[in-house]
Formats: sequence, structure tokens, C-alpha cells
Amino acid sequence: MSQVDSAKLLYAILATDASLVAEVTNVVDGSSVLDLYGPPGMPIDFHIRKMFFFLGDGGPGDEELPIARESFSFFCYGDNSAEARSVYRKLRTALHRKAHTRITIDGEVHQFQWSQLLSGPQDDTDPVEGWNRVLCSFLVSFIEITL
Amino acid sequence: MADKLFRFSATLQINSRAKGFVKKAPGATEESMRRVLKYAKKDAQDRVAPGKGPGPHPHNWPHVDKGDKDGLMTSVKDAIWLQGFLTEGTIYTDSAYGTYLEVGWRTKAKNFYRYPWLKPAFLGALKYLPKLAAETFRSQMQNFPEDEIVKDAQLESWAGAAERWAKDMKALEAQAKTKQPEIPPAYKSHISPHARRPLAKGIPRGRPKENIDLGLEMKLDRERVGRERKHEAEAERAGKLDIKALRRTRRSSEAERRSEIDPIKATQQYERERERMQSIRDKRRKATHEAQDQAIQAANAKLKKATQPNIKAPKAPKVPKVPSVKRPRKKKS
Repeated sequence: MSQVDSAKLLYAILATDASLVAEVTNVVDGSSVLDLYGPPGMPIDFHIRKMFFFLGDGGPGDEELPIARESFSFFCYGDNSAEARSVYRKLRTALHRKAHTRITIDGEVHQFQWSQLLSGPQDDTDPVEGWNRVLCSFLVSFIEITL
Repeated sequence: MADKLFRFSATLQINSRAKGFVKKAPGATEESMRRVLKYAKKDAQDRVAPGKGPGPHPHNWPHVDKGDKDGLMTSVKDAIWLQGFLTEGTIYTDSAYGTYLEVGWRTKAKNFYRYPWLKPAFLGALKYLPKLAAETFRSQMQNFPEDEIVKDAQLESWAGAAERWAKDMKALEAQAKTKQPEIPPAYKSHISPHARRPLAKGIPRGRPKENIDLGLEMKLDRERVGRERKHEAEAERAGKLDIKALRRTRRSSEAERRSEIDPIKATQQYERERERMQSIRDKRRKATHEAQDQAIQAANAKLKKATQPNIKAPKAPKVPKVPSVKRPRKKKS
């Protein structure tokens, strides 16, 4: 048993959702790229396309049970506002009210308990680049140790 | 997202539905919220004070904060909304620069930065909330003793009772003005219900005498028993009577008498006695009737002799029959 990396677990959960993966998989220079990123966020060489990434905001655990409840901020990007919204909808379908999923990462079993939308969606524009994006945050709970 | 067109805020809601707490400490929820917001606001302003913050900035906005009124630090404000049992506290800024620091942005160097300052400050202040709320509620409830609550409730009940009493008194006064005074119940009892009922002849008015006699008998009986007991006690004191032995004898004789009674024999004896008495009554009645009949017959005979002389009446002369004459019939016209 070991402590669970929440970003690692969340990335694995999202990367196993076929619909969401199909939404944010883009062809760049003749090769397909999965534009799904965790911390530290957007890659440096990124140019605007359908993409989303998330950053951890932390959160309290349970006092009696080994359950962690953390919130994550999600940034959904697209060539325009509609594409950013489309990415958000796929993300919401994949993550909102998702419950009790067991997933194996590097040979260790992780237990995903529950997730729900906390805030958003909020349409926004990146202040420097002027890219359309949708902001939202999710609360994610999981067993804080591997099984 | 232009500047001054939106407000970025962090909100805390305290839902105090406990009526007892609200009554005993009416302003404690608001005061607790105010103290929490004070901590959060101070922490948030410290995070965006001049000279602090991230290295890169969203250069589309002037980000030089000198602590004046146009800076981010001074734009951080707090507000409290009281909505009954729901108290809502908010820390907000109208500065878009502060918002993008919180949310994040992509710099010209193609890096993604974000500098959360409001949410961590708020979460950091929230950990003081239980302690601050407990202190505030405790102090206000100590200053608001239980006696005053009871007094208030008592005063309310008294006020309600006084109001009802005044209402009743007004109704009574109005009734006294309009209605005639009624006969008190004490006078009504002297009017017998028998006096109002139509009576047949010979039936006296008023209460039946049996009741009076019965009461008198009971009174006399009690006096008699009292006298007997008094005599027995005097005899016992004089040494002439053993009252305990007398009572034992009375009880035993009564028990023996009750045990000797056979209901079948008693019934047969009663029937025999009743037949004997009936036969005696019949014989007496028969004898009386026979004597009365003989006396009546003798008297009638004597009267007959006295009132009817033995004289034969003369025969009436024979009257010849008159021949009948037929009427002539009338001719029809």
C-alpha cells in the first residue's frame, strides 16, 4: 500500500474515457496527440486547439475514514468558444457524478469514490493570448491509499 | 471579460436554523461571519500587497500596485447579507487583474501561470470559524441569561391573559347593560318542580313524605344505636357487661342463623304458611258473607211482610173488540 497521487489517479480516470479521449485527441504534424494534461498545466509549445488540463486545489480529508476529498480546476480550450464548450461537455459527462471506479496504475489498485461539479462552467478568455476557454472545478474523492 | 464588468468573489454561508441559538444570541451568526471575513480579507490583502505576487504578470493590465485606491489590495472588500437564518459573507474584488491572478493565464513566454490569492486566504480563515463562532455564541449567550428568556415568555403569556381578561370583562359589561339580572341558583332551589306540574286531585304538592320519614327514621335509628352503645359502654365500665363477648355472641348467632337457613325448606314453609293464612282468610270471608246474606234475606223478608198487605185486587171488566175499517185507496191521476 502507498499513498495515492491524486493527479495521477484523476489523469488515469479521464484517459480511460473513450469519448473524452476522442474529443481532445488532435492530429499535430501527422501524428495524433492526446491533449489532456495535468499539473503543471499547458505545455509550452501548445497552440490553440481542443484541449483541457487540470490543476489541483487541494482539500480536506476525512477525519475517520481514509478518504481524500480534493478539488481540481479544469481549463477547457478550443479554437472558439463553441469548441471549448464541447470539450467541457465531454469532461462533465465523464466526471460529473462518477462513482466507485477501481483502476490499476503501475500494478497498484486505486479506488475512485466520487466526483461532482463544484463550480462553472464559466466562459473566459485568456488575457494574453485571447484564447477561448471554459473554467470549471470538480470535487474528487478517492481512497487515499492503494488497495 | 472587460474590467469593471464583473466581480470575483468568494462566499461563505452560515445556515443557523437552531431557533434557540438565534433567540439567545441574536447577533452571534453575523458577528461570527464578520470576524471570519476579517481574517480572510486581511490574508487576501497580504497576498496581493505591493511587492508581493508572481514574477510574470498579465501585461494587458497595469499591475503596478502601490497600495493606492487603484491597486488590487485596496480593491478587496467584504460584505455580509442577512437573510433570516441564512447569513452570507463575501470577499470580492472588481479588479480583473486580481481575477486573472487567481484563475491563471498564459504568459508571453508561453508558460501557464496562476497565483491563487483569494481562495487560499478564504480557506485559511475558515479553519478559525468553529473557534470564532463558539467564542461569539458563548459570550452572547452568557450575556443573555436564561431568566430573561423565561421572563420574556412569561410576559408574553401574561400579556395574552390580560388581553383575554379585558375582552371578557367588556363582554360582561355589555351583557349587564342589555340583560336583566337572573335569579341566583340559590333561590331557584326553593321552587319545587312538583309545584309546576299539573296534579291530580288528592295528590299533595311538594316532596313526598316518605323521604322525610325515611330521613327521620334513619336519624332515630342512629340515635338508638348511639344510646345502646353508650349503655353498653357504661355497663362495661361498671363491670356488668363483657362487650367483646357480646359482640362475639352476636356475630356467632348471626352466622349460625344464616348457616341454618335452607332455601328449599324456607320456601316450602313460606308456601305452607301462605296457604294456611289464605284458607283462614277464605273461611272468614265465607262466614262473613253467609252471615251477611242471611241477615239481608231476613231483613228483606221482614220488610216485605211489613210493606205488602195480603189484599187481592178486583178483576178488570172485559172490553168488546172494535172492528177495523179499511181506508179507501187514492186513484192515480
